[in-house]
Amino acid sequence: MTDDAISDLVARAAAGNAEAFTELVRRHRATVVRWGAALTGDLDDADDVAQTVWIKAYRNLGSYRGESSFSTWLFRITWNTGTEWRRTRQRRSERLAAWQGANPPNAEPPPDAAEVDRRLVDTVRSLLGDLPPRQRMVFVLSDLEGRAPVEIAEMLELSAVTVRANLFKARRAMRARLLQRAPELVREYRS
Amino acid sequence: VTCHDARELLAHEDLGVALEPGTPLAEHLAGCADCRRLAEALRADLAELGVAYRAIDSSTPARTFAERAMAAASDTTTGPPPAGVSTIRRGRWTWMLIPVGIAAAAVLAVVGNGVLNRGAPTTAPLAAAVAPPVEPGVTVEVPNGHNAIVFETKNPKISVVWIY
Repeated sequence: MTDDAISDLVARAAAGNAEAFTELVRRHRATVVRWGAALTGDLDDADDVAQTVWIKAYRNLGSYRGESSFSTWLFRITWNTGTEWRRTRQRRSERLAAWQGANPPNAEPPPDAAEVDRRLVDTVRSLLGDLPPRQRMVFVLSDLEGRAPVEIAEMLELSAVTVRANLFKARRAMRARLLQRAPELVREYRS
Repeated sequence: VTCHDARELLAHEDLGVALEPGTPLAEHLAGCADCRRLAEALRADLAELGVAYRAIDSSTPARTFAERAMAAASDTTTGPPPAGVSTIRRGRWTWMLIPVGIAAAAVLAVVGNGVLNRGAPTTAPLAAAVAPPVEPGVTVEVPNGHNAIVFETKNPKISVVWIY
């Protein structure tokens, strides 16, 4: 879909056209949920983040000026929502840990998540989970979504140099993690 | 390119570019089985990760996301739910809690009615003390000295009566 077509949808949605907004959601739904999954590591939490993103997006459609692509604008909302989510989760975990006198429980997949989807998210989480959020998103946007560093820089409001530095670190950590699955390769990798 | 150099490149370069024919890394791999195995393992794992990532999707239909967003935006009394608060699961729990609420109200009414009428048997049916799930606007009769609160849910057919 062209930028003009997206801008037209945004304009109609901002004017209250429900079908136009639904179409915008339909076109970007999976992308936002994937970003949410990369940020939260959980499909239900990703759904929650996505829902909040769409609420914020709908309320702020009038402020979208087309200065960046709609997906970049949407990513900014997702990133901010995911950051807020992480802080909330962190505070809750700390309170829970203090109350239980135990380590905070890791986010377990909910029992009602579809098994296949859970495995997919588990795969991504197990490989991306330990990366700092910014490195994780740079890696996702670059190596899993194929976006150019310049675009990622705009999405994350970073310089291209910082994006490359984050990508360098993320790949290094990721590839070391991947190779842990094959001990004989790890030995070679470290040699 | 030595094996060490090759592994450094494999650690952080864009493999799609670094492994193109003719690059120094590709030339090294052509002659080094160990590094080639390492590169193949990395490429396979990264491909698997990419497939897993692209397959992630929500079971929530786009229309549902959109309708909830529009409904939330039309509610001017509250802001968007804070991130981390389960909007999706909250909906599921709400529906589970409504019958629990009704049951709890019924128990309260039974207890309240029993206490009130202890030693003074009455022929009045219990149903008079607690209204069954009521339509909005229906009068709820409660024993003297008790109060009632009627909670209306989003479902017009379900209300929760709390007698205390």
